[in-house]
Amino acid sequence: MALKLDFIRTFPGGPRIEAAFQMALDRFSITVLFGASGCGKTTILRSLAGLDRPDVGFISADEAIWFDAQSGCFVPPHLRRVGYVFQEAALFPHLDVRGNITFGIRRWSAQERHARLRELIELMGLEGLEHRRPADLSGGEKQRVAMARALAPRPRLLLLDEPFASLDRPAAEQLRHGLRHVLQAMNMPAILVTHNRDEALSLGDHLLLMREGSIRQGGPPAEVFAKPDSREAATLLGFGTIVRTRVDGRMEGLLRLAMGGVELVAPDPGGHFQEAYACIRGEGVSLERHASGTATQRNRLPGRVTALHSLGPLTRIHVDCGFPLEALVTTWACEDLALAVGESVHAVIKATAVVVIPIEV
Amino acid sequence: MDLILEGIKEALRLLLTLDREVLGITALSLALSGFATLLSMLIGVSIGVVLALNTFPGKRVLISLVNTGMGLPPVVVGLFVSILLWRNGPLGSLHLLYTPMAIVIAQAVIATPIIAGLSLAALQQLPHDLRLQILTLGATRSQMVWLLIKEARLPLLAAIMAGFGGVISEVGASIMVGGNIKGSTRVLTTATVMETSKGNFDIAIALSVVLLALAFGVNAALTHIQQRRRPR
Repeated sequence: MALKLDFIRTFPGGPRIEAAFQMALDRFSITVLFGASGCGKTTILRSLAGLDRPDVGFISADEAIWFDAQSGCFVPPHLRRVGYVFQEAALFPHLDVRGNITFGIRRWSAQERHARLRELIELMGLEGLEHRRPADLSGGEKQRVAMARALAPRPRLLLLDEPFASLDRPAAEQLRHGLRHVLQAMNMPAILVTHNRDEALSLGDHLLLMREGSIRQGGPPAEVFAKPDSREAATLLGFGTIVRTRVDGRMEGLLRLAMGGVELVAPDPGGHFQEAYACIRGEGVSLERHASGTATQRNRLPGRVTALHSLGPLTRIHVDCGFPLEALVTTWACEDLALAVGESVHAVIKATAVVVIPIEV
Repeated sequence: MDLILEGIKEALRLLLTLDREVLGITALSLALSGFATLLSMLIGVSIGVVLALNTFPGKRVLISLVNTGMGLPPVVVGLFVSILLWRNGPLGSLHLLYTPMAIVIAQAVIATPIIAGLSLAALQQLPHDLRLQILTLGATRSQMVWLLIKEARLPLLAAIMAGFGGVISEVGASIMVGGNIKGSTRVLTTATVMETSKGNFDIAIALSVVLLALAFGVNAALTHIQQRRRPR
């Protein structure tokens, strides 16, 4: 009981998308396709739904072959039983909420249809909106209707193409919260496309990292986020600081990394290499005005603030400490320390906050 | 001045007494242009659907051709349909020249690109995702096309009315292929031309009033459709 795919889709004069993975179809789980815009995530979803046709390879679900380039087999969308939720809810403007939700089940008996409608209205929290037209719904409500509509025919797989991207933040967070619960209640496997880190971390059971048209890394989201295996993956996963360093020494599972006269201590991932990228998340860096000397942290680097960017509750601070370092601190702490451009600070980085990606020669 | 006043008076009398000749010509005009519009609708909307929902090489060229066709001069259409239906022409054996059917053919040729072009625009303005969404909800391709037509029904209706408006008021092609034969191919426009040239301003004015009323009716309905607040 699994979805298996391995295909290539080449756009004339455009990108080449390669996809190969499999996932279970018989139980709830959310696979996240994570990557920057335009890296081919949507093409994969469309190929799975039958809205796009790959050039080479195959797609199969359980025993059924949906697409096979060699035999020319192609199952049209309406026979695949795949639900699809688009970024912008494409509701039917002339139908009310009830009409939209029951669109895919209009051939069911009136009784079944009504029962299913009740169930979905309750599950998606749409009570009282049954007779509204799409024009009179908020963005979050529209997207909930779109999800209910996609789920109504009991698809065996739900595809979600950045379903929260067009919503404002509170609406997106609320919907995100409910989505996992709903899919779990229906025992529905799903593939979620997103470029939002919070979404990937909070919703995904499995994460596939995509870059430039192909899947580069896969695993549980927390693991992938903690251990990118390439410089590009680290960039995509939000490591604010990525610097090239030279290995200066090894001791007790730790590495001494040197760059521009500065030294960093980091966990040793093992293996023989002389150079490595040191990747540090902004959250892993704290700033002090004066060297306190009591901390257990191994890395304490003097530096100078070069730029401050307010992100609301957080402030991103660029520090020059022999290499450009990015720190993410609460705006409150930033004000407390009276940080300003040109001020000297000490950056404190726990050794475990430094991810080392070896550069193989 | 008297001439005009007399003409208007007489025209009113003809209209109010439901003059048989004026009524007959009006009915024939409506029947022929209506039939031509019906044919154009079937062909034009189909062309619009094919052009709007498919990608294929040469699509842009075809769209340009359709757009050019929207402004086809009726006399040119009249000329080519005449040649086609001429006794020794390719379709001469059908003996259609100077019959009502000839007018229907010429008017359909004029209205088809208008309807095709406006249908294409009507369908293209639907959100692209709607199409894909319909397919993922278990609709076959033909069900999807039907749903899209339903979704775009107002602009499509406007397209059909624009086609009708184009042919009911057209004179060049009708007179060339129909010949303005009384009781057979004499329609509002061709009769107006003839009566004016004969100096029968009363009947010409009466016919013009009917034509104007039809044109006004079509345009008022079109405006009504286009100005209606579309549900977002």
